[in-house]
Amino acid sequence: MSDYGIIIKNNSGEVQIDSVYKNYALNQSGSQAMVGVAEYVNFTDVSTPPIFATKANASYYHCHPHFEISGSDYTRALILSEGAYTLYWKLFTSGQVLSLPSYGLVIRNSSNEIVFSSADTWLKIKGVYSRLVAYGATSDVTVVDADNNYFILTDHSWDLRSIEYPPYWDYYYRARGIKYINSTTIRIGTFIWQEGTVGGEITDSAWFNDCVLIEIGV
Amino acid sequence: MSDYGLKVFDSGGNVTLDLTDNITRLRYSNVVSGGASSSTTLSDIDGKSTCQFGIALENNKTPHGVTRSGTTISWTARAGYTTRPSSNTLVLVFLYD
Repeated sequence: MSDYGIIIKNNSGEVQIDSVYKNYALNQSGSQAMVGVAEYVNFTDVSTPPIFATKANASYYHCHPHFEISGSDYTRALILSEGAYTLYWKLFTSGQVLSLPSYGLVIRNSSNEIVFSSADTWLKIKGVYSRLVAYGATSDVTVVDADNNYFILTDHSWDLRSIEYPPYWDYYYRARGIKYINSTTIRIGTFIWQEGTVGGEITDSAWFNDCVLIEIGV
Repeated sequence: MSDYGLKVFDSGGNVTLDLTDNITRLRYSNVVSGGASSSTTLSDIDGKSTCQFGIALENNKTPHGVTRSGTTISWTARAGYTTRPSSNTLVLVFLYD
């Protein structure tokens, strides 16, 4: 803990702001029509490590397994989707992302970097839910507000396998994703995001039952 | 009104930070190489809540698994059996209390 500066706690005694570590703030947000495969969501490049959070959709699963980078910049986010729908997303980065306010509060660390600015919209953790979700299984998670909050599902798991339909084999790419069930329930489950035909049997997988759903408000 | 804490309003008078909010602070970030598993000790997270995870930085590859045990954050390379090898991964650790 720093021996100088400021520490702000909430009414549970939990630290919200200190003079050492950077808070995370909304950098940009948007929506995009997804067609139901692997698609990139483009955002304005950011140079600091971002968080990409999405709203859950009631009809289709989706997940976010990958950031594209160019040099040291993060340029877009890959989304795997089960079907066609509109994806709502928010991107968060550290430090001050808006112009310096003409009033309010700005806190800097010992390196003179901004760790908090009252002009920004701060990422708020509403819940962190750890689950074991095996391939093909589902887990319903009770959340604070599935209508308005955004979510991150980690770690990414995927599976590839084929089934014989002579004379061909149909292959299915699956991943673990999230789906909206009701205003307080998010389902974690397995979905197909790509399928096709191949000449023979394919079996491959990197599936890990442990996963964490992070609920984010702003 | 409480006699402690901080309440922040925007120029429209809307509350953007309240006394009950948990806002998060970035404690640690690192880009780790595909195939390499390792860990780091963050002694100051003792007794604090964190969330930690990894995001792949290469397409069609598999990100590391990121876990916490005590004050140790570990990242473990993961891959498919034959395809989608281990990816360079952005490891993030956030404090939220």
